[in-house]
Amino acid sequence: MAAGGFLDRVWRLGPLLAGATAVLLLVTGVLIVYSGEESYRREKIDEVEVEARILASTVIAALTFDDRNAAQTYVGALDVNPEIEAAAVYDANGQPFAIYRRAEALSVPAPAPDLGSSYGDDRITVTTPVTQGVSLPLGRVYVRAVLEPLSRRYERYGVIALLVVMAGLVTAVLAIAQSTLSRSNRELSQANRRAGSADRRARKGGGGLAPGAKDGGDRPDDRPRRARFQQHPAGCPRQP
Amino acid sequence: MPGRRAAVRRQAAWAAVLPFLLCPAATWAQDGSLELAIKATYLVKFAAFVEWPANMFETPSSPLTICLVGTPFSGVADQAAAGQAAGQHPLAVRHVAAATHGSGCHILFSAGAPGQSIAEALDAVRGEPVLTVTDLPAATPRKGIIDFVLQSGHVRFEIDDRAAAQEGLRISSQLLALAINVTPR
Repeated sequence: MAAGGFLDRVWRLGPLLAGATAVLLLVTGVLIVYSGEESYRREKIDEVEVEARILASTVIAALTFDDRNAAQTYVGALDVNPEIEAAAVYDANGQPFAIYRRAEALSVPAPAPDLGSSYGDDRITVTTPVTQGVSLPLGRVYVRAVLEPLSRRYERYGVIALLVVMAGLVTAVLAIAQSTLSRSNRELSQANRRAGSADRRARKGGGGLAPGAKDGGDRPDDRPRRARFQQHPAGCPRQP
Repeated sequence: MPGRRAAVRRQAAWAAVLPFLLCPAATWAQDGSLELAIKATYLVKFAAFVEWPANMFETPSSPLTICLVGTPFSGVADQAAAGQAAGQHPLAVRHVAAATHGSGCHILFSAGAPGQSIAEALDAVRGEPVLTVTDLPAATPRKGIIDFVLQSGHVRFEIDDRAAAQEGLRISSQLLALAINVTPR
């Protein structure tokens, strides 16, 4: 009996649980998208930092021996990566030593920016030192990369969003169906109670079944109740 | 305190060399003394891009010795090397009257001396893992492993990587990439 009561309570809480599930799915979807964005950005920063460090280690000799042509060759090699928008090698005084720009309109900062990485305006910038050995500073390397356009990034999350919406729809439909069934059950239960009490009253008043009722006929006081049942949209089984 | 003094020395040495690196090489080359200063600075910097056999050093922190024979550098190389190191080896500059076999030099620059020509200096260290550096005209038949060249007003260099390999030296690909001419091993 206790288990039945618990199930009844759960059944009554069905719409609420379904709504909570839909909200949870939505929040989960948003968190997945946010987490994906964060990891994508972190991954891209790592990639650009690696490129900058490789360039920094490559231009050591060029900076040491003041060979701008060699430095220009090395920095120009970044052209193979379409995400790199601009890059520069700076000498120890912070002045540009070699510059790469994917388009003429682009520019690089001068003097050399502070060391570190930053993110903004769909671009990642990394500035890393160029050192000989452990401590001899030779200059800096600056690399700026463009992230994928926001629209293209969101396309990747489209599948997740679709799944979340579909799961939400299924949950909503189930919630509505459950709510409708609950209401019907309630009404049936009330009707049943009313019929039971009417039957008891009839037994008390008439002392038995009316003629013809024994062989399946209607009792006189059954007619209005039956008519009421027939009006009910969900229908109702004949009372015994 | 010793660490602080070393750091101050390193900074002072860097400050001495920095102006040479920051000025356009073309400007330096117009003045003979500046050209020599650049070459002296480069001579010191070669050390960081060359590997010697381990047995050329008594200990992992033994000094790397740059020997100068008849050098016209007049102290610039000493200034450039002060407080500098190649890996764990501090750089030391030694002015010698003549190159001799087994003298402990790791880099030898010879401009010729009254008692020893450049060719004789090169012969003296043949068979030893010594990075020989010269500043000779292009037509000279015998040069050091690295030879300075003036190209379009810039001080550049040629590298004989084959000779370096024969002497047991390994030159960094970064340095080889900067050479205007490399004799492959």
